[in-house]
Amino acid sequence: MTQGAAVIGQPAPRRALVPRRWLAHNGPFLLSFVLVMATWELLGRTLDLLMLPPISAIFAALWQFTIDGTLADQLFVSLLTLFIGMVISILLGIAIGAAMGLSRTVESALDVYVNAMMAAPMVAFVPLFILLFGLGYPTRVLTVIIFAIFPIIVNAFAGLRNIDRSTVEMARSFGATKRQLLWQVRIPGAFPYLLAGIRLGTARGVKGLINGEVLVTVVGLGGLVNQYGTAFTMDRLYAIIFFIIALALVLVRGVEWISRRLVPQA
Amino acid sequence: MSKPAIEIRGLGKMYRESDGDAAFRALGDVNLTIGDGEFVSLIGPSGCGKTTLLKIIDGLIPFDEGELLVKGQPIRGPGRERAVVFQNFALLPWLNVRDNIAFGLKLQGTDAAAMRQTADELISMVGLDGFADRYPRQLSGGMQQRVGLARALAVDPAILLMDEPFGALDAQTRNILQGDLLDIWDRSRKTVVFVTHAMDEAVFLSDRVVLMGTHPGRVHEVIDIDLPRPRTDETRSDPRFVELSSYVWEVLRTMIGHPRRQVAAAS
Amino acid sequence: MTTLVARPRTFARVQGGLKKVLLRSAILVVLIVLWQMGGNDEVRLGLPTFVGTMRALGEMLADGSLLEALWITNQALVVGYLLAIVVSLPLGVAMGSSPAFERVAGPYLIILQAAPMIALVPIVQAGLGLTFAARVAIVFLFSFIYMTINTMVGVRSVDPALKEMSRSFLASASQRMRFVILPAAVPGIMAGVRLGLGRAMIGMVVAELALIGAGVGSLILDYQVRFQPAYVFAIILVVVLEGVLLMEIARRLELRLSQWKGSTVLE
Repeated sequence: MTQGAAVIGQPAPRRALVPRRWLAHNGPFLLSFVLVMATWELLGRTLDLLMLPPISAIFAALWQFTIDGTLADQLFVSLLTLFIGMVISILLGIAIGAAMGLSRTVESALDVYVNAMMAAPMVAFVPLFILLFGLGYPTRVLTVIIFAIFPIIVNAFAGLRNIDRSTVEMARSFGATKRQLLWQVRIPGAFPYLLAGIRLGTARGVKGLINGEVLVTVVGLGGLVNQYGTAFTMDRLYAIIFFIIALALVLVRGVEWISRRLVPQA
Repeated sequence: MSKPAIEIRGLGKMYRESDGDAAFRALGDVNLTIGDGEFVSLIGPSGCGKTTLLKIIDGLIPFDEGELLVKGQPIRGPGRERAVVFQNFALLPWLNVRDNIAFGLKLQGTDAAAMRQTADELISMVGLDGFADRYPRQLSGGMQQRVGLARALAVDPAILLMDEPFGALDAQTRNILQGDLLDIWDRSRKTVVFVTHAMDEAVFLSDRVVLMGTHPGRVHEVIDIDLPRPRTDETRSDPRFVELSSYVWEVLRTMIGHPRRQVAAAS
Repeated sequence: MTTLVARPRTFARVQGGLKKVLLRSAILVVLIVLWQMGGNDEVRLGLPTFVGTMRALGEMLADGSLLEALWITNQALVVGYLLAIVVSLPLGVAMGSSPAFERVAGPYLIILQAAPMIALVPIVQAGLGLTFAARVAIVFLFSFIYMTINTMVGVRSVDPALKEMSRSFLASASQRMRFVILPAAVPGIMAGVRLGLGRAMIGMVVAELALIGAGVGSLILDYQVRFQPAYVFAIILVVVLEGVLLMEIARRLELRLSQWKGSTVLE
């Protein structure tokens, strides 16, 4: 639309430091965010409520945690748990989902159970894990897995199944063998689904990680939540929570970014 | 003759890009007068703004320049004397055929008995007897558009605005619906503005065919269709029908044939 | 004519359904046998056997402790979940119909959606103590975000053609909301209501396991500290089963209310 008489008006101005469109879109939120923070600080200082420490105290605690290494130590423990849990979830999840996608028999044997467990409050299993495996990595890794694996299974399955019929017919008419059909058409076609499953799984896995740690009570970022929560040191508690939320956002966005690079059409 | 149904003088329409830096002229200096009870088709290459013009006449889209009078009055938004038959039917999928047809009446606060009576009359008129309780997803495309037509007729508008109503249908269904539309029109003699991209359709239905050009969208040529009415399937083999259709095709082809313009139209 | 076509298909479906049921039951039997063989009731910290777990379940059902715990637990679920529905639906509708509001409030929802809600349990406890209200608040927090987001998306993704159609037929803003937008958003809203229920149940369990001991959660922790895994497992199975059942009910309700969105096949 940039040629000929169809376009009138001036050429676009040089790019500003902050794009105008971005500011127009996000300005209201940023303004409201500043207002929320200011109100929080004001209420925190005047009301003196246990559950509402001033925002400045929270950031001071966050800074303290950063420089004294508390965060770094527990972050390492948490990320290691998450990493192991996610690797197992992805490998096992894809294997189960693929088996369901490729075989109708496996599908009808497992789909009820997978769907049921995807919807059920699986967090209830954590106390049993604690009883059976103690407070160490196995319990926490298992918690990550029961949170993360089901969306991965379901998406891997859907990816292999929801293949466009006309694409399959096209490949057949060009003489593709069964094996070629699988590797050239169905598996590449399942990729976007797979990545969506991994994205969802990661988002849930992070929640599983924190759930496991809070319930196990002694380790990781969730352990810190528990520690400061039971001690009612609210500024520190909020500091940890802010950090966990930021971490969750970064991890989920990170996986999104990577998957977009891997599969541009996703 | 009384006042023309629709008068368009020097009408122009811009679309602004969302950042407000550039504007795209969709329509420029459109002039067209449509008489009472006339059947007029708008046809032209994609990007000529024929659908935009139709929606402007309905009042769904505001315009920037010129003047638009309906029955001698300027319009402010959609009105009771105009009703649209939409391209993709725009039926409410959770309502059955009868309730879809009565939708416009319901909005006007018509009482239930009158609504039902009108709806049932129209169901017969558009040939949907026995389907009153079906839902849109249970109907073929042709039947869905019959519902769309009945819904527009239900509010008894003086002007019927049809936006490529048969564009999504197969050729046979389209032919049948064209015939049925002419029957209904013969009986009611409403003013019809009919947007289409099919030349034979425009020629078969219309009193006049308005050929629109691009960049900006405008009236390129108006062709009088002097085929006798009532028109039937025999009309399609009339040498005059063939002659007029090929003339419309020639004009369109020279317009689209411009490679530069084609690129611009596609962008 | 439809019955003629439908009959053989129905038969095949029944046959396939029977095979499915057999397969699924076989899997269940295999799992139970493996569980029975892999478990060991003699070891204090071993996986309990199937029989041991069922015995524990029977005992807790007989003395009424499990039912009482379920009763207490579900009170928080019901109140918190209903509260979440009452807040989420209007909020989601408002965000879905006002882009300006969505731009301001949307990012907060995205942040809260990514946050592990369990981390907020200590804050709720600091504000409300170890009370029923605290458990209700946690159930609410877990479920309202998903419901709000789904309602918002449902309202926002209403087919613009339907909104345009209603405008053309002179719908007022409130008519458009009642007759077009809300009915069209029902599938999205119902999906949110179902997902929100799943989240509410997680919140219910989490509230009781982390810090605020009551109902089923405190029963689990009781047997946990006494190292009786068979009892713990039995309670978990009941909770998971309740979750599965409630979600199935929600799914059926969703399907029923979203029927018009379903297949285009004649039935």
